[in-house]
Amino acid sequence: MNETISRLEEVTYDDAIVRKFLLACMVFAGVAFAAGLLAALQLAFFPLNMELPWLTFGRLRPLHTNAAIFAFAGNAIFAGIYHSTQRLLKTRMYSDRLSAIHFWGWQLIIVAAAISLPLGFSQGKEYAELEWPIDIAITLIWVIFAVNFFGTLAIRREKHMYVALWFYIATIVTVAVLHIVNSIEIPWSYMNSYPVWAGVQDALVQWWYGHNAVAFFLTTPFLGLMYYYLPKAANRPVYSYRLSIIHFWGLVFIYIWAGPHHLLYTSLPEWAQTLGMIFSIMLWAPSWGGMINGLLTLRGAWHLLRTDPIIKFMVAALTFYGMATFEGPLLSIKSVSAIGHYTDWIVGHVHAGALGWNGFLSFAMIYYLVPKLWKTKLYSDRLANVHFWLGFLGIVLYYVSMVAAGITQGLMWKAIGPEGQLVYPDFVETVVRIVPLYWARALGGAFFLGGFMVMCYNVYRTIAASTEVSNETVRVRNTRYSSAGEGHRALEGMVTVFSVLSLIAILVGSVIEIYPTLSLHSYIAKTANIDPYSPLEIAGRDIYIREGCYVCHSQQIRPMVSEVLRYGSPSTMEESIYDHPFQWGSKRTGPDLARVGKKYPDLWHFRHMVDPRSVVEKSIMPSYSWLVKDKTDFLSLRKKVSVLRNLGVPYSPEQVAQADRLAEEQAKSVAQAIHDQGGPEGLERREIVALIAYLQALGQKEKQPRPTDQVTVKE
Amino acid sequence: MSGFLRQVYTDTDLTAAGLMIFFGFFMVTLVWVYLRKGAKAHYEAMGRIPLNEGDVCE
Ligand code: HEC
Repeated sequence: MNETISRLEEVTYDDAIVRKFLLACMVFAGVAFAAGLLAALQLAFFPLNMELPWLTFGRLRPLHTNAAIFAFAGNAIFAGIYHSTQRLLKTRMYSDRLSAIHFWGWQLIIVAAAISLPLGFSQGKEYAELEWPIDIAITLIWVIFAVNFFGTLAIRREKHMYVALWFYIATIVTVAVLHIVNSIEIPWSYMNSYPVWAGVQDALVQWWYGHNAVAFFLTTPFLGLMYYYLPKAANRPVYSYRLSIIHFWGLVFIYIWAGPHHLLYTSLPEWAQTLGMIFSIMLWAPSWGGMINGLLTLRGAWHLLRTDPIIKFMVAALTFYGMATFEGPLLSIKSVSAIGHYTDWIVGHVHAGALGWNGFLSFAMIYYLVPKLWKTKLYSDRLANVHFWLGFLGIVLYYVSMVAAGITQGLMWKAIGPEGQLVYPDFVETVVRIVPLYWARALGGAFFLGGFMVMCYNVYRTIAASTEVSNETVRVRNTRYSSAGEGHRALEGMVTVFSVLSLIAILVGSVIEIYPTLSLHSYIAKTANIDPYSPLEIAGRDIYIREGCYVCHSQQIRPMVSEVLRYGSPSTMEESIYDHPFQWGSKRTGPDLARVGKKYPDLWHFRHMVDPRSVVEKSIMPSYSWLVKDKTDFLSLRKKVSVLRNLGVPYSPEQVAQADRLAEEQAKSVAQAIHDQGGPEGLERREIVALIAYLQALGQKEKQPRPTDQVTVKE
Repeated sequence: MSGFLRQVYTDTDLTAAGLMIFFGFFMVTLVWVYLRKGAKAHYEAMGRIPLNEGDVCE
């Protein structure tokens, strides 16, 4: 074994890149919060959709979620990782150029997202809406980040990798796997594509991705930041380093399995649902292990909670983390999911995590970093306290109102009277009931945003008072080649082995869960008793995706008495087998649409889309009047249908060759029907006709209707 | 082949297998971290890494 050959060396950290990421984080936090507030207000007061296509709820909500996750949280993570990694490894980042490409590339991606999402370029998969050119850019920039990070590990002066770094490694490895697998898509234009996955397959891949985006973009990197910044701020080591090891491996191994808890009671095979539920419940243990490890780090220093705003934010963040990770497993229990799923309870749950955990931890980090990076003192501790209480109040208001709204609506949907009839057969009744809670939520959001603005002012004054901005130079001891260590100690020294082990840990769950569903698909496709959508319906479906109807409507009826009474027989696996992408949805601000076809005449849909209030007085759905003006893109249909055919949807070569003509014919007959029913004339080339054709096809594609006795209903 | 794999993979016993894999993995980690000799001092030193970041040069 080598004897210690450590020597003193000087190292100058690249703090300029940290400052850049930090400021970008704050700018985009403002954008994300403001978009969220506007979206919240739109649900409380529909006229705020303003009949502007690019500002309407269905397009604004993806902008909000993507901005919050990738722009705000993303830049926060990068700021923290670049700052702490250099210090933990006692070396400058591997390459300043790669750092710069990473920074500017990421901001460019954000700008591309901020332009393309309002324009309606969307893949229709939550948190993965960005279209294929941006997906490729994300992959490239992520690889650059990875090279820079692992390069830094390779030139480190500290042999041992502190626990925060493991969380960063797991993040980098897993996000790459998730993003690539979920984004395999075939373009049909320079800005549009269809995913190769379809139906139940797409649902499983998407929620494996979606759930683990929460796990490996909003949890593991932030836990890494917590393990670094909490000990720094409290000036004491983490409570138990051993617990952190258990925490890490437990979390990474278990998290990856939990995705199917988003699909309970859907047509996903039962075994996959069970797997998702069990692993979600198990997840409670490592999550709380981590929270306790963080909180107990403050043992003997609780007085800091009174005096130090940074500690205050961190403790609150950990507490919200504990709350959210308690509630998550709870919501994964099938009987709880039966009430909570599709409601605003889930939205409340997410925001306890996003605002409380990610938001507050990022704020703590910013308050810690800004004075250090600009070599000055924080302008005002008092304002930081004001920020804390405004934010705290905002989160509590938000959370309580959404849980109340969710449970209220969930119970109303399920309420069945003595004669076995729905107590609230009109869906809109259940919406009207929770609108006051939407106002309360928006108020909560406004408080949170207000607190954030106080922070911006505080940070601005702090930076303005700074006279010197330079990179920090420190004298460190190079322990790179000291004793080799054993066991986990040696493992920590071995970056490659460690990364591969992490990769294996996440692949075990991924493969067991996803593989069978992939092959299941080809099996169903052979026996499916389903016709694919006609070309016009495909055009309509793409409008449905572009307008983000899926953020308010599900297309998946659960096997429960109340759902069958309200919407019809439960959805089957076959029905969505040709859906690239699947549109099962996750939230029902409006009713399920899986079987809305033929429920209303075409004219009803026409009037409803142009002005929902004209047929449903109290509706909060946005108006889509531009669909009457805009023209359907018939020409691209040949390309679209051909891509779908290549993906295995059973279109004949003639259908591909004549897709546009077939669509025009069908459009004529729909337009005629609308006119015959008393609507306006000459709509055949308008988008609204394509959309109506699609809506009328929903639930109508079965070749022979199933005998009803095959339907199983559980409650 | 694919048919066979499908049969194997969709077996509900797989849930149990997954649990067992995890449980085994977890126990090994526990033993490794808590029961090996001499580990305590090492882990305490590890925990102090963020607090020993060298001296700032002026
Ligand atoms: C802000 C959320 C929201 C968005 C976005 C939204 N809807 Fe709705 N939708 C509702 C609500 C609420 C209702 C129930 C009240 C009503 O019928 O208008 C509804 C009802 C419907 C209905 C009637 C269903 C039934 O069974 O009575 C259809 C059809 C529909 N929406 C289609 C669409 C389409 C197509 C889009 C996208 C272009 C869309 N919706 C976007 C909220 C939304």
